[in-house]
Amino acid sequence: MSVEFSQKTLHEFEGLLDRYPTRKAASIPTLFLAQRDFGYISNEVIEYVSGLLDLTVAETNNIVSFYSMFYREKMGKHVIQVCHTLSCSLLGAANIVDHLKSKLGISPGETTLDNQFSLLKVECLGACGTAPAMRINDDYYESLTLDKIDKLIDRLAVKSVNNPSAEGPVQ
Amino acid sequence: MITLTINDSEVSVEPGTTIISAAEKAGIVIPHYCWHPALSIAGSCRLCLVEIEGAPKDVIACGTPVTEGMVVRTESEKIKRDREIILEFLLLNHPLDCPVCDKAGECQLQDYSFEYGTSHSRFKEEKRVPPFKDLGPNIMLATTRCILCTRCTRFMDEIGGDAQLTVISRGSNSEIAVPEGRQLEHPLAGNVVDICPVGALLDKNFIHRTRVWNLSRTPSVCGECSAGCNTYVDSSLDKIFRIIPRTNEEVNGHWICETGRYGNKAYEDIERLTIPKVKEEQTLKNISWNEAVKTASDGLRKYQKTKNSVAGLISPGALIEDAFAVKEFLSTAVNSSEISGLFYKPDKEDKSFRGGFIIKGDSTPNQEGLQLVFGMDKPDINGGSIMSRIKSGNIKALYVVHNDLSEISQSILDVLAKLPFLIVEDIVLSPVAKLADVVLPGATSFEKTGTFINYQKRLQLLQQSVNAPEGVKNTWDIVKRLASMQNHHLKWNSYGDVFMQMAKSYPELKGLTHFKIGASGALLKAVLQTAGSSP
Amino acid sequence: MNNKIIMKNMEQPGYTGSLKDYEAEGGYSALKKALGEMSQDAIIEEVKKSGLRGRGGAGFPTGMKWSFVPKDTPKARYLINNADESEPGTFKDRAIMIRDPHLTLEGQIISSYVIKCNVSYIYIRGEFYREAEILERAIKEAENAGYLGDNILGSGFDHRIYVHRGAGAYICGEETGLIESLEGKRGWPRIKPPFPALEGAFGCPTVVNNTETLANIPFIINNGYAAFASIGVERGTGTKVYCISGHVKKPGLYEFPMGITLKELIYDCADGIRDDNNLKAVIPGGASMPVLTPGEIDVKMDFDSLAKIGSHLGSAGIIVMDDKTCMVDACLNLSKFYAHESCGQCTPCREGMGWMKSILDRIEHGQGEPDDIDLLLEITNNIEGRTICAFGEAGAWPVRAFVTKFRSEFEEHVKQKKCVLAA
Repeated sequence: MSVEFSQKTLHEFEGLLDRYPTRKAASIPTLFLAQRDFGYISNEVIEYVSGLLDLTVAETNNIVSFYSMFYREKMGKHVIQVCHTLSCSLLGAANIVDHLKSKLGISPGETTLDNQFSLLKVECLGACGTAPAMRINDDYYESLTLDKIDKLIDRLAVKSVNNPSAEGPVQ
Repeated sequence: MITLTINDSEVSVEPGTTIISAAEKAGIVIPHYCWHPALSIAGSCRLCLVEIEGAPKDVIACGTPVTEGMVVRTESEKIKRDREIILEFLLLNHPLDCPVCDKAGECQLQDYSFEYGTSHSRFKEEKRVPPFKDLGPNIMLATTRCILCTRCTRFMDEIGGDAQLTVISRGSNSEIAVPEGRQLEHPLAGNVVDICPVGALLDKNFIHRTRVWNLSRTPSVCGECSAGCNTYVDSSLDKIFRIIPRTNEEVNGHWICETGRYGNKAYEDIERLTIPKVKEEQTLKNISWNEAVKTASDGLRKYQKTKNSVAGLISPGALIEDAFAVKEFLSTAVNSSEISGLFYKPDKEDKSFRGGFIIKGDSTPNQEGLQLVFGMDKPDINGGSIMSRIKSGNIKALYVVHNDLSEISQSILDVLAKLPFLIVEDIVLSPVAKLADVVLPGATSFEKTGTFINYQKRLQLLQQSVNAPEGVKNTWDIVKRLASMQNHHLKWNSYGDVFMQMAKSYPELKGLTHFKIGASGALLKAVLQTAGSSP
Repeated sequence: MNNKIIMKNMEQPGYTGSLKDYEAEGGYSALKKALGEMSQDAIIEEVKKSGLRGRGGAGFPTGMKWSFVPKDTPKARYLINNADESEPGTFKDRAIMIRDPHLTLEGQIISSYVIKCNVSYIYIRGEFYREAEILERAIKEAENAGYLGDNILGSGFDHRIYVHRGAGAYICGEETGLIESLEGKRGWPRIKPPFPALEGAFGCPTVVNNTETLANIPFIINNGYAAFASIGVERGTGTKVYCISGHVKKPGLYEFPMGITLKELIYDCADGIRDDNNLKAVIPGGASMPVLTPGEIDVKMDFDSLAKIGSHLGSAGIIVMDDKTCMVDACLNLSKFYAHESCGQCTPCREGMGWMKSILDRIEHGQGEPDDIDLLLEITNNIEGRTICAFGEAGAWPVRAFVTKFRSEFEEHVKQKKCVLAA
């Protein structure tokens, strides 16, 4: 598969370049655009982005591999990121992970067979006052209880079944 | 200038100098891994921590500029403890497979651990064992041994100008890598092996072939282009195992290119000439040296009565001593001043790299040297004037020195084929040797001690690193024998003697001997100016 | 308590954080005053005298930081609002960005004016996607109102703010790691010198200020240094937004003058320990800062008072642990965090963080050996002071404090070959 930004995304990319005195500085936001459009950062994406930014493939690889928010493999439609650092851990993050494991039938780092959900354990999300917390895609879900999680996951699953092409976050 | 005290030595350096460089100036070596004089400062290995009087904590010598009156201690108990601590961290996940590691014997991790480390490990966990990686055609990464000093990645970016090699991941999962499906392939790639302080980056051409303590090291000069990079040739029992850069800030810095690094390879599997040959009834037959020299001498005698009917043609892969020896022979013994080089017009552009390293388009090492010997302002391309006089029949006999593997064009070979008498000194039965009436086995540049002059007009000495095969003779020796057949005595017994005789007749070389050239060579223009300005 | 600076607006019922709401509370009057009446030097002087110290963790005096930027340089200068809030236990900057974004923006514009910088950035952690959207909207509003852009309020000062999202790396909260990341590289902290004030982002003089720090600037400009300095304690002036999380009944943000005690925060503000359990341990300043025991909670929550008892105010992220909490497990949890977040650049941190994690993991799971406990302490000593950046201390201090203060619990784990608090 050849990878290329749409005209619209290219326009966004050009806008990014105006923000910085160097082209390289746009690497992280450009990779975010790529992850948004292509789902994850494949080797092809790295090649493409390197070309856009005048970086060697190895340089882009060096950047991508440093940051935990760039995915190097295809993820589910909903990427669940459960915080397990101290404040969340004190308030039951482990139970939440266990619950999601059995509910989704996958372990952290895995994606459900229908590609609907990926489960990740992540480090502190900075929502300690409303622990336990997690993110699904770009949205925070806080002061979690197992009941809350059930309702949330069920709603997302139904939504996906009814409208599999629906994009964007669920409010 | 800033004056500071390091241990008990007072040293004055330029403002902005770092402690590690100031210490070097005072002859004090501060142990380090990531620091390299030609690369940017990483400051990450932390081995070069030193104590500064009055400072709250120890600082890295590589990244801390000196200040006036600073008092630095590099060997205090505190600093020795720092080194022990850093080495313990570095060895946690290091495999200690020194018995099978090719770096063993020249490994800085071994050396510093011996000097500052402890002999036991407190690490009870499982060591990380990432798989070894094949990085490219010549280089592999023993991932477990890497200490993440990043010299290699900085080299590729800052000197090579192409960041093909980078760190990936983070924390203790960090690794050196090329991207999936890519190769570390670059004209300067091999240098990453030389600057790797441990046995992580390895030259696949060298691994498992010998132990480094079996090697003897000879300072030399690369013969693969006119840049004249300084090298060390590491050999054992007359076999070359590797060629590595020898630092010369005026020429090659700390680096050499792949062509030079593997310049010995082409000489490995060739069938060397070791017995002279003479042509009888259109076939070359083996013959003794005495008979070969007599045949050659007899052949020349037929033509030498007419001035300049014998000529010499020298490959620019030859030493200037070779060229001079032939020139002397021609003028004293056979009544000729006709001599030129197998000069050719470079068909490639010079290639410059970000860090200033250059690979010359002229892939011969000694055109400048030959020009000096022959008194030419510019190279006589393809032996031009000599070729035309062979064609016109003025030149009847020719002595060719071609002790390398350079190719001679078919058009030249066609001209040489017309000669009534041709003597060729060569290392293999090359196309030009096949044309000869007398073939004499010569020595390669690895087998003799002499000089090249590079494109900067820098005279540089290469020393004999291996012995020539039995039966091979040096050019000075051959022409000396030929001369004596003509009752002329050439008074040299080595290339050193040849050079000394040369130095008398060339003002550019005035006062020089092989011993006086010096490790970084002698820039001849400067010699000329000095000579000119002296009363 | 009327002494609020940071949370004054956001705690009002119906306050949305829009420009309209912000202006109704007197927002951007400080910018008008600064640009209209004050010289750069005067503002630096004002902030120096206010005693404001950085709210990100290190507590460096803000006015002094600005004064390091060379006054006569042909280079561009940059200011970066450090909104990378990643220190476990800390969640104050996020609230400012969501609930009163113009407060930190106004501070950022004034501070940029002080160092004569025409482009500044907000480096926000990548996870704060919606927060970044809110900031982008607020920036638009400010641009439309003439608080940003060319010739701001007719002063001749041009300024633009861009939001730059990180992508998941704690180390990018460290100012030089942040600068590297802003430049599009991996967030490997730089060796110093050169210091950012001389050579920071893109090789130019750069100031990095925390979001909460900048949010204090409008108050100081509006009310004068004395008003700010009169709040709090000596060498710890102004208010602090304390973040309380963990085993308390009412976790959340509490803004108080510096110097309120930890005990007051836990028991009066956060209403005490959940299920009325006993307090066992409390981290006062974000995960990096040494843990305290119940006997130490009378401490005043300011820079000097905490330093006096061997801990630090840090980011004022208070994590409370009750007596059901296993100290080995808590220590292991943080140790995993630091091993995961070590950037891997320098030797002691790259190797040491993973080593401590492995040992703690063994102790917690019944594989500990008696000499492991002293070994842990020695590793913390060996890391400290030998790394490129303060991450070394950040990862070493918590382990040292947990092991030292709760040593018997670690020893019990080793002796009984299991977690002694596991159910």
